[in-house]
Amino acid sequence: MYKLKGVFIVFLFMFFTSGCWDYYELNDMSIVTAIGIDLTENGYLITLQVANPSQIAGGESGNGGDEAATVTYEKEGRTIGEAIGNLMFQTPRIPYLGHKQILLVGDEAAKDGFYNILDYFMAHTQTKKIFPVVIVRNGKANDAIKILEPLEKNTALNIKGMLETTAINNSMISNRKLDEVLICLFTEGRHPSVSSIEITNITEKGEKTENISTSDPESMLIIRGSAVFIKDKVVGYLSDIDSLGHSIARGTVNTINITFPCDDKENFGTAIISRVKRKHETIIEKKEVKGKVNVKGDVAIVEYNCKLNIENPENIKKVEKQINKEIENIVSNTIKTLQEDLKSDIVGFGEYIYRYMYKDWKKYKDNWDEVFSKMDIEPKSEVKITSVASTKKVIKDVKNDGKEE
Amino acid sequence: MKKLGVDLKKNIDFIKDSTGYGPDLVIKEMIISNNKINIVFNEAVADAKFIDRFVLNYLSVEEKKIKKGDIFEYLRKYIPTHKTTKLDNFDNLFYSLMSGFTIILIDGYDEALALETKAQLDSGINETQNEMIFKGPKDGFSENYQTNIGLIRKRIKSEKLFLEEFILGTKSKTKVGVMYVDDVVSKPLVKEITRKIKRINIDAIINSNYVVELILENKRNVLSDYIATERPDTVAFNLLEGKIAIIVENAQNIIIIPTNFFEFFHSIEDNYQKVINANYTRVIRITAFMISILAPGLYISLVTYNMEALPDPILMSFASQRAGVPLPTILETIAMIFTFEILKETDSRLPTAISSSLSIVGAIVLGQAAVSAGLVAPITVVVVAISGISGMISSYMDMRVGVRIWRVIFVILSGFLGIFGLTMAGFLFLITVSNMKSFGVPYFSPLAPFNKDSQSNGLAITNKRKFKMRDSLTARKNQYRTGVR
Repeated sequence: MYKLKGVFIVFLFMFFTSGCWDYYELNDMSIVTAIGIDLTENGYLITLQVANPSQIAGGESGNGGDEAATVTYEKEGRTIGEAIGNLMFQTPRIPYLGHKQILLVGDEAAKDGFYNILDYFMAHTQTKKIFPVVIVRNGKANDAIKILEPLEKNTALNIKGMLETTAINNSMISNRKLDEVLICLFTEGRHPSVSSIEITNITEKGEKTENISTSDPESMLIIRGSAVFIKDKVVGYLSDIDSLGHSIARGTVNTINITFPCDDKENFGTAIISRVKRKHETIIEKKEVKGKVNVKGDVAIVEYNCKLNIENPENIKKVEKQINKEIENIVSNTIKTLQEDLKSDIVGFGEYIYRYMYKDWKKYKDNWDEVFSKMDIEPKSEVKITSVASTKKVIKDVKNDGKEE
Repeated sequence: MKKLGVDLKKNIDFIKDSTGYGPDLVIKEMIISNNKINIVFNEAVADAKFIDRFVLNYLSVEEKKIKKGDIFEYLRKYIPTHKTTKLDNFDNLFYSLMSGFTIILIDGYDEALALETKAQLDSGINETQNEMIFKGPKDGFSENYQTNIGLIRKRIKSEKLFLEEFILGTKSKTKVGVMYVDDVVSKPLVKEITRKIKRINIDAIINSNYVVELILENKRNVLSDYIATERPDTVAFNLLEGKIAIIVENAQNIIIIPTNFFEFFHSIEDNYQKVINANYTRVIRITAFMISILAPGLYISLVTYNMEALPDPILMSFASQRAGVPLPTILETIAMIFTFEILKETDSRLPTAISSSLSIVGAIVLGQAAVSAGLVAPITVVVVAISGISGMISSYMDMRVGVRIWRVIFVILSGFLGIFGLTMAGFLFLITVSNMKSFGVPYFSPLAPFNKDSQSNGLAITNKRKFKMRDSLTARKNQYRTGVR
C-alpha cells in the first residue's frame, strides 16, 4: 500500500513539474483563417489572414464598431517556415494555424511545385490536415486574400462557402483537401487535381471597404474549374464544364445539374441528377489499354421547354437518351482535354491497373502518362428519369379544356 | 392459510415465530374468570393509550360480570370499540396485527377477536422538505422513532417485515432499528450488519449517519455508499428490493444499504410516472451529472490546450469573449467555482428572508457585474453556472456534495495537461468508482459488473408489467415479485 502511495506521488509530481505543456491562453493567439503562398524572387511570400473575433462572433462582445473583420499580414522568406517566423515582428500575438480554413496557392507557386510547400504543413503539429487547397488561376494568392466581399467579410469563409455550395449543387469543382492531395501524391497512377478560383477585375479597390459598400462589387472571387497536376506541379486548368466531367469520372459527385437539347430547334431542358454512381475500370486487351466509365443515377426534370410531350412514356425514353448522350459528351470532352492537352491522368485509370493488375502495372509504370494520352476511353451513361416536373402541359390542358392543340 | 388452533400457547408461539417477535410486538397475558387471555398488539402502529384506557380497563373492571357463559361471545358483543371482527386464520390475524388492531386470543377457542385500535400516525408527520416530488405521497419521516417505523409498517403490512432493535451509545442510549423483509433479504448481510452494529462503541448517536459511518468499509470515498432518505415510500420500495433500512431514534433520515451509484440518480417519483417519461428524466439526470463534473475541465482544456478540437464558430465566439480578461482561464474558473460554492453555502445556512435577497445580490454582482467589469469572461460564468446547476440534479445530498470535489479534480488535472489530463481524471474517477463496494454490492452495478436481471431498475426503468424480478444483487430469496412464475 505504501509502495502504491509512492507511485501515486511520483505521478502527481509528473503533473506539476512538467509545467503547463503546450499551454496557450486563447487571448494570446491570433486565429489564422487563411494562408496564401506566392512565389517571389527571394523565395516565398506568405500572406496570413487573421480573424478579428469580435467582428465575427455575435453577441454583446461582438459588434466592435468599424474594425475590419480580418487583418492580413504578409512576409517574405526563403522558406515558408522562415516567412512565418518573420511575421512575428508584425503581429502582437502568436499566429495560431490550427484553425485555418483554406490554403490559397498562387499560379506561379503552384506551377513551381508543391513538394516545398507541403513539408511545413505536414510537420507542424498545430495544423490539421483537412482543409481545402485552392489555386488562384489568374494571379497571386496575396491579391485573392485581400479582396473583401459584402456577405462574408472573411475571405477564407467566403471561399469555403463557395466551394461547399458548388460541390453540393453542381459538382463543377474538384474539391480536394490537403490530405487528399497528399494521398494522390503518394498513389501511383493518379495525379492530383484541386479547385481553382479566379479574381475578376484585379484592382486596388478590392481590398478596401469601398468594395463592400456597393451592391455590385468591382472585384470578386469566382470558383472557376480546377487545376490539373502532373506529380506536384500544376500543368494547366480545366474549364467549368470539363471540371464537371472530371467530377463525374472521378465519382465525387453529389448532384449534377445538366442542361440538354431536346428538340431539333434550339429548345432546352434542365435536369437534376442525384444519387449518381459511377464505375470506372481499365481493361488490358491484347496489350491495348482501354478505359470504361459507367454512370448511373436518378434524373428529375425540373425545366422542360420542348414540344415533345413528356407525359408519354416513349418520349421519356427519348429524353432519357438525350440526357445520357449529353453526359457522355461531357465526360468524353473532359477526357479528350486531359489526354491531348494536359497528358495527366487525374481520374485514376492508372491507379486501377496498379490496384487490380499489379503485374501489368510494372510495364506501364514509367511511361503511364504517354499510355494514358493514347488509350481509348469509353464513357457510358445509364441514368433514369424518375420524376418530371413540367407545368406547361397542365397549363395548356386547363386553357383548352383538355383538347390537344 | 393456517387456521388458528385451540391451544393458546401454540398460537402465541406461532405468532412469535412468524413475526420474529420484534420489540414492537406486545403480548400481554391476563386471566379473566379463569380464562387465559392473551392480548397482542404492535405498539408502533396501535394506539397504546387507547388500549390501556379502554380495552384493558374494561377487561379488569368487567371481570366479575363475566362469570359464566361464552366469554368469547360476551367480549365480542360488549367490549367498547367501534370495530370488532372475528378472526379464524393467521393471514387475517397478521394483517390486522400489523395494521394496528389489538388481537385478543382466548385459550380454548380457535378464533380470535380483533379490535380497532389504530394509532393516529398521520398527525405530526411532516411534508418532505428535501426530496420533493410532484406526484405521490407527501408524508415524510419525522424525528419520532415509533412514527417512522409506523410509516414503513403502514406501507408493508407483511408480517415478514422484521425489526431488530439495539440500544447504542453509552450516554445517549439511542434506539437503533434494523429493518428488513425477512423472506427477501440476504441473511448473511443482515448478520454482518447486526454484528457490526453490536460492536459499535460510542458515547452518543446523534444522527443516523453515525451508525452507518461506524460500520462502513470504504472510509475515504467522496461519493456516498449509502442513501439517507426522508421518504417512507422510498424506504418501502427499497426494503422490497431486499435492502436494509437503519432507523435511528431522533434522526429524520433513514439509511438504506446497500446501494449503488445509479440509485442516487433515481427518484421514487420515477415509479409514479409513465415509463418513457421517467426514462427521459433519468437520461437527463445522468447527462447532468456528466456535465457537472466534466464541463469546467473540458472548457479549460479546450480554451488553453486543445483549441484545434473546437469548431471554428465556437472558437471565434470564445476568443472574442476572452479578449482582455486578466486572469488565466484556470484561475478564473476556480475562482468562479469557489464563488458559486460560497453563494450556495451562505444561501443554505441563512434564514429564507435574508437568503433570497442575498441570492439576488450574488447573481447580479458576481454574474452580471463581474462580466461587465471585464474581470470574468461571460463564457466562464456560463460554464461554471451550468456545471453548478447540473451538480444539483441528484435528490440526495450526499451525491451533491461529492460531485463538487470531483469537479475540482477534473479542473486541476485539465488545467495542467489539457484533454490528456481530463482523460486521466476520467480514468481516475472510473477506477475509484468501480473499485468501491457498498456492503458487498459493487458500486457501479448493475452496469459494471453487468447484471441483466437488475436492469429493470438500473440505468433505465421498465414497465411495471415487466417489473417482475427484484434486484438480484440484494434480494436473495423470493426474487419474483409476483410470487408465481
